[in-house]
Amino acid sequence: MPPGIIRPPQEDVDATRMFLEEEGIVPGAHVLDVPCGIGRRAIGLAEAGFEVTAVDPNEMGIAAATERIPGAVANRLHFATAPRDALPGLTAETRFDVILCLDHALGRESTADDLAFLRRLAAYVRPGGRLVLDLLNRDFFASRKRPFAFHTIGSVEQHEFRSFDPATGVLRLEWKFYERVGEDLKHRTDSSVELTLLTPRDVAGSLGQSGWRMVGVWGGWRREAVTADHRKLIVLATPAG
Amino acid sequence: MAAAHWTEDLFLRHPEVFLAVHENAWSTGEEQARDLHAILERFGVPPGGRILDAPCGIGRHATRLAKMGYRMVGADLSPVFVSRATELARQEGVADRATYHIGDLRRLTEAVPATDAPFDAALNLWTSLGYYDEETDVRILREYAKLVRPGGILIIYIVNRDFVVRHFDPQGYEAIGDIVHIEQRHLDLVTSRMRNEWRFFRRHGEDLNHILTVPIEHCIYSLHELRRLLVRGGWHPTEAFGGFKMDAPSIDSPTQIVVGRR
Repeated sequence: MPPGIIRPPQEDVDATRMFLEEEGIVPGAHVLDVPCGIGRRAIGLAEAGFEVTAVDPNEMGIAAATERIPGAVANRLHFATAPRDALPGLTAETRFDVILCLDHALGRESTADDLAFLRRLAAYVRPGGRLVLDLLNRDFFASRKRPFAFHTIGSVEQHEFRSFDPATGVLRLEWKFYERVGEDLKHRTDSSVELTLLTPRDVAGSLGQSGWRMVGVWGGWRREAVTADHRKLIVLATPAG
Repeated sequence: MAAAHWTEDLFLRHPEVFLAVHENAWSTGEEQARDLHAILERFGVPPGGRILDAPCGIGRHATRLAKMGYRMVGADLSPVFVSRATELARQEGVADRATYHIGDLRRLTEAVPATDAPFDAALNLWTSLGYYDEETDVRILREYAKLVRPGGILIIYIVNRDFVVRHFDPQGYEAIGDIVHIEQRHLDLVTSRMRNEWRFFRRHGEDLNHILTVPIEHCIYSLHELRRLLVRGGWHPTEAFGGFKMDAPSIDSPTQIVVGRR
């Protein structure tokens, strides 16, 4: 993809920035974004004035993101990679004002892995700092039977088949990717993911076992009340100590 | 040239696509016909009574009801569906008790032979109202009323607007044999009209070869609106149900049944 279109949706960046500012975390603050994916939001936050360190296990994504750092923010944005089981993998003395853990970064591996990850993160936050989680809301998916969705991105059409198992809380997403040729759809590839979805109480429990204390949970970045109609949970925690 | 109404696109120009949908639903007619039989009995339609089913599709209800002893007449816009219905009735051994005619709901009295009327009951199933505007729906209900005897009934089985509002799902997928149907839905709450885009593909290995794209536009009704519509169409609304099992109407039931008495 050309560098020009790797831009964060500006409303995502703005919503995150406003959320942080309400916590007293303003431009100039040190932000750790982990896992950062291909770094779209990290670039946006650096452009907003934050000092951002962004880490992801995907080396190719990070290499590409590093090449695309806009010159104006080159001194405020640092990309790094680390193995998934060692994230964020930074030097021991690094401390951040806030750690962002977005796009449902928990529930992809075992609960033990999540707890270990959260414990490692606790070592990188300054006293009184914050952890912000952006998770999929279990109750949204449990209360909606939406077995199918499709999205088009340029000439690519993605078909998504969803199933949710209330007994395990696992949301299974299967994707088929097609290329649109005229009105035909030529199959290109498939992929799938299984995500364990959590209720706010589950999240509070996991945080409590990993050196954090949940201090707030909302249905969105604008601090909407949590309801089953909100797709996301925005969770705020502080170090337990 | 004015664009054809979507019903013409789907049922007249490309009937083979929706024929596959009908064939796929054929097996569901067995149980639903038994349920309809119970509803007909509850409203005093006599065994062996005369029943009009319009639109009838390939007769998945009508042919089954004929096997239970009713004298069935079906009408449908699509000559292809009517011909298939006739063939299936013959296969099921009820060609003498289930006859099918080509006809438009808006001119039902022209489609149904005068000698077949009056009917003890008429059926409008599978969300077959709301395809045009509300005044046309009133006209269609009056057409049924002209063909049903006083005291006879009309059973409407149709999507429940309240369900759609509460459980709106903007996209849908259905595999029907080797046909894949992908739907993008839009609900206009101001006009209560659904504006959907239906795309049909044929599976070719893992690829999907495009057959047809049809914009489907229709009006959806809440229960009180249907009851009011019945009155305007010359019917007295009686009971209403959430579905074929005569369960109570509910915002969480995808469908609703209203019964009007002539």
